[in-house]
Amino acid sequence: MRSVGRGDRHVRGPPVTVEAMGSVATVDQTARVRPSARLAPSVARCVGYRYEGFGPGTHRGLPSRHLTVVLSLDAPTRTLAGADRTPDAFMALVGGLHTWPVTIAHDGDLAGVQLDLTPEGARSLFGLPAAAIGGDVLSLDDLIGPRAGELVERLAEGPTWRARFAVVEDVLSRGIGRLPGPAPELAYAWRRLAETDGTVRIADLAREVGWSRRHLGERFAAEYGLRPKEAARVMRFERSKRLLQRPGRPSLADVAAACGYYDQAHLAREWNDLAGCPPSAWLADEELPFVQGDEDAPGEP
Amino acid sequence: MSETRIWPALRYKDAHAAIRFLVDAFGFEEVAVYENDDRVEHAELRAPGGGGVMLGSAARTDSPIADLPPGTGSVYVVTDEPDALYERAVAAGATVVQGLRDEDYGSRGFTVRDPEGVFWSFGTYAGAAS
Repeated sequence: MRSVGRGDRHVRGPPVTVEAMGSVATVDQTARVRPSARLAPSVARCVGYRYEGFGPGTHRGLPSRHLTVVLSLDAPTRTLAGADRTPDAFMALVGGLHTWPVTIAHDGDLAGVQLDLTPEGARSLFGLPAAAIGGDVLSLDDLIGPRAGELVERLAEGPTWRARFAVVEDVLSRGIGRLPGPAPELAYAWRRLAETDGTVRIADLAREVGWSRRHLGERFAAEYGLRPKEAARVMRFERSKRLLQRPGRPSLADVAAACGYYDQAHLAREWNDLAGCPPSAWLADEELPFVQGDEDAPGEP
Repeated sequence: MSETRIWPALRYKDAHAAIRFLVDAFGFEEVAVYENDDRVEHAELRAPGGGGVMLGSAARTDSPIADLPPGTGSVYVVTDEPDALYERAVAAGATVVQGLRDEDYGSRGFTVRDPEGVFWSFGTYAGAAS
C-alpha cells in the first residue's frame, strides 16, 4: 500500500472536474507533518488528504520500504488485494511490506490520513515484527484493538489537519510498547539497504554483519517478511519512482543508470513485477493528485 | 532544544520549488506543509542548527503579509560548517552574492540568493553573547 500524498503537478493528469451549478468543484488538499520525536522512529511520514470531484478510478498502492496505515475520514478505503483482487473495505487499514501493487478503488472523493510506518514501528506500535503482517492488508483493529475505532471517530471530529494530526499522535503514542527491537544485525542490514536504496550487495551485507548469507536471509525474512534481495529490489524500485517524480523528469535510461539497473529494459521488467505496469503507464494513469513527492528523501543529487 | 520564538516569514511564487531548494541547498528539513489546490497555504522548515522559517505561496491572498512581494527578504543563519554549506548551496543552484570569506569581526561565511531572490547569509558568528 502506498502513495497518498501531495500532487506533483508534472505527473498529474488533468482532474475530471465536476461542473455543478456553473462552478468547478474540485477539492485537492494535502497536509504533511513531521511526526513528533516520540513517534518519529515508528512513523516516517504523516500525510492528510482530501480530494473531491475527481472522476472514479483506481489508484495503485506501490511496494515500498514502509508499512502503510490508512485512516479514512468519511467513506471507507476500498481495496482490491491479492492475485484474485478480492474487494474489501476499511475505515482503518494496515498494509504490510509487499512486492506487488495493491489497488485502491475510489469514486473520486477521498479523505484520510496516511502514515508510513518503519518496520521498527510495527514492533513498537503493534508489538509484532513486520513479518507477522506480511504482505497483507489488515484492519487496524486486529492490531491495536478498540484504539483503532477511537482513532477513526476522533479523526472524523477533528476540525483541522492540525487537530487530526494531534489525535494520531495521542492515540498512537499511548500504544507505544516495549517489544525489544530486532537483533542489531538485522536493524543494521535494513538500515544499510535503505540508505543505499537497495544497491548494497547482499554478500557484502552478510560480511558486514558477520553472518552467512543464508543465516542473514532467514533471520531477515523472519523479521521483515521479505528476504534481503526482495527488500533491496523494493528499495531500488522506490528510488526509481522518486527520481521519475522529480521536476524535469529524467529519462528512463538515466533513472535506470542512477538506480543501479543494468539498463532500461531491466528497469521496465522490475516495474512490471513490482508495480504491475511500466513506469510510463503509471505516470500516465495516476489521475488523482495522489502521487507523493518525497521531499524528505535526503541525499538525492 | 529551546522553543523557536522568531520565524522569518517568506512568500514565494513557486513555494513548492522554494521548499525543494531550501532542503537541497541548505539542508533544511520539512516539518509541516499544508496545501490547497497546489497552493502552499503554510509551510515550516527547520534549519539543521536550530530555528526555522515559515513560508507560503504568493497566490494566497488572504495572508496578512500579502503585500510583501514574493521572493523578498533577507535571513541570516548561523552555521558551524560554512565551507561545506557553501559548496552544497552553490551545487544546488544558489546565486552567489558574496563568496566565502573571513570577516574582520571573526566570522566566516557567505551570502547567496535563492531562485526567487531572497537573500540568505550564513556565518559562524552566532550573535553577541547575552
